[in-house]
Amino acid sequence: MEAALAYADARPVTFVEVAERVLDDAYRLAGYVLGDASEAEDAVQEALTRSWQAWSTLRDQDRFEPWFDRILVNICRDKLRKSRRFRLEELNEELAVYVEDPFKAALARAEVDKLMPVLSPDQRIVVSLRFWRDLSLQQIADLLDVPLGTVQSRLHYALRALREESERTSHAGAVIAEARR
Amino acid sequence: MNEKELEERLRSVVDGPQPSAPPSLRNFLRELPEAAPRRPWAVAWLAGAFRGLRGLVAPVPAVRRVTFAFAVSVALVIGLVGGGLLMSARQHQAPAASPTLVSSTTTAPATPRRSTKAFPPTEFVLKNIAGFKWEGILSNMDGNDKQAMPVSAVALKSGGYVGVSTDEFGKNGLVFSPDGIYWNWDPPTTVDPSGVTLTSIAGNGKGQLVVVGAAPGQGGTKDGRIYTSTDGHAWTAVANATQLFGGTAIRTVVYGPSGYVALGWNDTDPSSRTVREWVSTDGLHWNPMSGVPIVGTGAFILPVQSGYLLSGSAQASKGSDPPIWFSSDGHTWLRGMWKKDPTPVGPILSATVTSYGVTAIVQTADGSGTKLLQGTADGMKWQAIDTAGAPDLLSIASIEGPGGLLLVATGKAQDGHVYVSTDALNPTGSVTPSGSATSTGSVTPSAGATSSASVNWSIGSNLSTLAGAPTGQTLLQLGVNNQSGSAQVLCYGHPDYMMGVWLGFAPGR
Repeated sequence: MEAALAYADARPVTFVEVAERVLDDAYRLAGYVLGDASEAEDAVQEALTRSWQAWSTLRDQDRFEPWFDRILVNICRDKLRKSRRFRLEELNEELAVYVEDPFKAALARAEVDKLMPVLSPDQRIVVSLRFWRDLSLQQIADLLDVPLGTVQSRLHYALRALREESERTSHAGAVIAEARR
Repeated sequence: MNEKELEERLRSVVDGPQPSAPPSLRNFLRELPEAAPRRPWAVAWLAGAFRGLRGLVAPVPAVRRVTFAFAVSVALVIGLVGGGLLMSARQHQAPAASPTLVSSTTTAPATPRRSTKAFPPTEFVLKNIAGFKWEGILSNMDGNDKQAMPVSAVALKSGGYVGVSTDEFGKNGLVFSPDGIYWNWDPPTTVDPSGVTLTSIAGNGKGQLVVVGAAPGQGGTKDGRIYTSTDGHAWTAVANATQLFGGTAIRTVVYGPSGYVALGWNDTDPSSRTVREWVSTDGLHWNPMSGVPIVGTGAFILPVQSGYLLSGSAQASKGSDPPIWFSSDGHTWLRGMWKKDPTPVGPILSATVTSYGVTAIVQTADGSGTKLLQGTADGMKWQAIDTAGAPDLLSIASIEGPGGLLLVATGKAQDGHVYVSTDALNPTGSVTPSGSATSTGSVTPSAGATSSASVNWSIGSNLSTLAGAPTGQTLLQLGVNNQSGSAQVLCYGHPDYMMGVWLGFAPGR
C-alpha cells in the first residue's frame, strides 16, 4: 500500500493539468449527448468530481482521457434516463430560445433536434460518439466497454429510428400543409 | 431521406466553430485541490448518497467545503456502522452440471451479523418506501482494471473490506474496498503462487480471515485449499491441504457459532455428486465431517442465531419437507419441516436473518421459478409466503431498527428489478422476536415469523436505471445511515453489459 501511495505522490502532472487538457472535448461530448449546455456543464462537473476522487487509483495517466470519457458517458446516460422518466415539455416551442445554447442551436440548425428524442440513451450516446466525436466503431466499443457488435447494433437501430422519425414528421408536415390549403 | 443523407445531416451538427468549456467549469476545476484525496471513499459516499443534493455542491466553494465536511462526517458514521453492514456474497454459478441448484449464495456475512443484535442502536425509522431512490454509480475506480467486484467479502478489523473476485469480474483474486462500494485490485495480493483459484472468504469477527479455493490436482482433479490471514494481505496455507482437501474444490466457507464450516464439491466429474464438509474452530486445524445430507454441485450455507442453515439437493427425499437442514455444530444436521401447508420446493438461493426468523428465497420444485419462505430462527419450521407483486426473486437482504423491518430483494427476471416489501416495514399482528434455538435444534417458534403469511412487494421506485440489464442484480449490502436514519442498499449487475453498482437509499424520519 505504501508503494502505491508513493507512486501516486510521484506523479509529475496534477489532476487539474490533465483534466484541463480534455475539458473542451468533454464539454462538447456531454453537450451533444445531452443536447443541453446547462446539463452538459453539470455532467462534466460531476465527472470531474468523480475522477478527482479516483485520481489516486489511476495508474497510467496516458489513459486519463478514455477513463474520464467513460465516467462522463455513464453520467450522461444516467441523466438521459432520468430525463426520459421526467420529460419536461417546452411550454411553447415557438418561444424557445436556442441562441444561448450552442448545442441546441447546432442540433436545430442541422434539423435533427426534433428527431433525437426517439433514441434511447444508449443509441443517442453511440450516435454522438460516432458523428459528433468522430470515433470509430471499435473506439466506441472500447470506450463503452461493450462488444463491437453491440455498438453496430445500436447504431443501426438508431439510424433506422431517426430515419423513420424523419419520414413520419415529414409526412405529418405534408398532411398539415395539405389541410391548410 | 436515405441513410447517407441522414448521416450527412448528423455530421453537419459539428460543422463550424465548436463551443468551449464555460469559464465556470474551468473555475470549478481549478478550485479542486491538486492532491487527490487520500481517502476517496468519503467523497465517494458524498457523491453516491448526496447526488440528489448536488445543488449544494456547486458553485460556491464555501458551501462546497461545508457540504464536504458534512459528507465526511456522514461517511465516518457510515464507516462505524460499516461493522454492522451486511456483507452478502454474490451467487457464484457452479458450471452447469446441476440444473437444479445455483451454488452457494452466501448471503450471510462471514460472521453471523445478520442478527439485529449486531447492529448498534440505530435511528432507522424508514416509514415510506415511496421515497426509495437509486443511483447508478461507478464501481470501478481504476480505469485500468475492469470490474473489480467481490463474490464474497468480509470486513477487515482495521477497517474496510476484503473480498474474493472471480474471472467474471476481470480476474480471480482478492479485492479490497474502503467502503464496500468501490473495489479495486490494489494492493495486488495473491495467497499462493501456484495458481490457486479462490472462491469464498470468511472472518471470525476477531481479526482472523479464512479464504478457500482450489488448486490443480492430479489427473485434472482439483485439490481444496484454505489460507488464513489477519490483515488480508499476508496469507498462510493450512498444512496438509492435499491430504485434507485432496480431490475436491472448496467452494464456500462461513463462520458461525461453532466456528468455520467449509463446503466443497466437484463440477468436472458428473459421476461424483458428493458434497464434502470440513469444520474448524480456529481456521488452522480442519476436520472432515461425514453425514452431509446434500449432494450435487451446489450448496447453500448460512450462519444463524444458534448454528448453521444448510440447503441443497437432498440425498434422500423425505416427503415434501423442504431441503433445508439445521445444525448447531456443523456435524449433526436436522431436516426442517413445514409449519403448515407443505409445499414441495427446491433449495435455498438466498436468505436473510431477521428478528422474525429466516426469510429465504427457494427454488420451486421444478426449478422453473422461486418462492419466498419464512422460517423460524433456526430454520426448522417453514411456511410459504405469498409474494404478491414480486414473481421471481434472486437474492434478499434485510435491515431493521426501531422503525421496523425492511426487506429488499432483487428480481430473478432479466429486467433486474429490485423489490422492497411494504408490509415488512411494519409487520401486522403481534410480533415478538424469535425464540432461541437450543443446541439440539429445538425451537420455540417466533410469533412474528408466522403472524403474516404474505408479504406485499413493490418495485423500488426510480429503478428504471436497471431496466434492460441482461442479468439480475445481486444484493451486496444493506445498511443504515445512523445520521440520516435512512436505509441504504447496495447491489450490482450488468447494466448494458457493463458491471455497475447501484446504491439505493431512502430518506428516514
